[in-house]
Amino acid sequence: MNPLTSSGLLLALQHADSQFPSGGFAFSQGLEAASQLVSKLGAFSFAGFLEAQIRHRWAEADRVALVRAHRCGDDLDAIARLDSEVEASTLAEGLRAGSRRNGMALLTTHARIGTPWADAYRAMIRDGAALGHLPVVQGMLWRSLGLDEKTSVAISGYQAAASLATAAIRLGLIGAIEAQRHVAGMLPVIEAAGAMPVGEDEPLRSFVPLAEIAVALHGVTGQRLFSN
Amino acid sequence: MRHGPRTVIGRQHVSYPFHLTRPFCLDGAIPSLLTVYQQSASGGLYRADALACRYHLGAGAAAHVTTQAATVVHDCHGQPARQAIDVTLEDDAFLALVPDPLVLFPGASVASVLKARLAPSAVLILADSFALHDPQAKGQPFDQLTSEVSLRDAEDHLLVRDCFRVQGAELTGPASPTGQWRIVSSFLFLGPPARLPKRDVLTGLDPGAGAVLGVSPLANSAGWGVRCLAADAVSARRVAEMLFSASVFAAFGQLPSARRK
Repeated sequence: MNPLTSSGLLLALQHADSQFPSGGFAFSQGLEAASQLVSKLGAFSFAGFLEAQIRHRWAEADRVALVRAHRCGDDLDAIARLDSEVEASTLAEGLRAGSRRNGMALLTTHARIGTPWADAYRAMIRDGAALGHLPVVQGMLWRSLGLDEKTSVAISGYQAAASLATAAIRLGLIGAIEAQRHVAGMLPVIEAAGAMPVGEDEPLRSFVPLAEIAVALHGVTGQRLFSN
Repeated sequence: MRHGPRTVIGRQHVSYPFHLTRPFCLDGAIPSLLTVYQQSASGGLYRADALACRYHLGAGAAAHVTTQAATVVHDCHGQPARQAIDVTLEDDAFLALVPDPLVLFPGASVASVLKARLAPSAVLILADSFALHDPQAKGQPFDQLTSEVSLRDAEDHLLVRDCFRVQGAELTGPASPTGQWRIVSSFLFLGPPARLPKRDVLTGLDPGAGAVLGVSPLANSAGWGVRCLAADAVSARRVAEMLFSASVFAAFGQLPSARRK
């Protein structure tokens, strides 16, 4: 569906909206620990954390998984194989578990509103035949709704940046106005990454060692706001 | 291959620039653990190098393959040095493939691929690390580093894949995914839980003030993944030695002797 038509644009707005119950509010991708363990991990800046996540995780791993899932169409078995690849390619347990939980939450919402393929894929997860990682589920569902690949990538990239900015606000790291400045700064990065080609078996690459260490340490800290 | 209580090199083919030392038995209490130092006669990695290594350990064999020092990667002028490593471990084999870090000089470019296939009872310990080095402090980082490590089981199912691509310039600014740390290390502990260190052993290691590390269970119950960031070579080596010792103790019930380097 062409997002420049009013119906396509409205559909994209609906699924990019933070009001859409996607479950993403529960995850910080290591932001919480990285911002709180400065004495151990070193100096922290939200701008730096955000850019590293977009360039070195979203652009090379989540975006690639989403594009490949989108291209699978209604071949749910192929999507499940990609799901397994995402699982194997995500080193940090906290990020793996977060991706699965977030994907399942999104899938559940879509099943309730009758999005095609959502119920069938949920059943596969229940049967142990699939895992439900977030970018895989996003690619599958948005394709089923008629959103094209480019629009789906844009929504995914925007949500990755916006959800981190929201987490930073909830952690008291930045204010709401400043958050919008950070998100705006990421839009050209997201657009440039979105133009990078994705091959048929493009591997999922990720290079966020500091965030992965933060996620690992997050699991052993006491009170926390986010799951990872 | 295993020969009685010891591991011996059954077949060896080494060509320039590699040189393998003779096998050492450094651990009196672990006679099966053979240690080999892999050396390079060329003085490091250069542009367009295409290097390949293959390790095949037979049933019950145990080896520690390491280097004597870090490996310098010179300016590659846009033509990456390529390394391909292939590992096959048969039943109950143990391999610790733990080289010292790559030292990435300005312009260095490396593309590394490691593929491993393990029998269910085998143990593989992998270390992969690199250090940024800008000797003239002119803000000239390495060019690019790509790495792909994949582990498959005996039925060819993908268990773990650790893949990244990063440019040196991306590690020098405020958005560096490594923060202010200079040496990046990844360790994979792969194998059955009974032959690997327990999680609390790994998380309980004290990296000291010069390093941080995070421990995570790997996908598909394949073992443990450890990321480590260090401020200097001494701290990075200390962590690597602690992790190697923990892995040997878990597999053999004995701590290894100190390795001379």
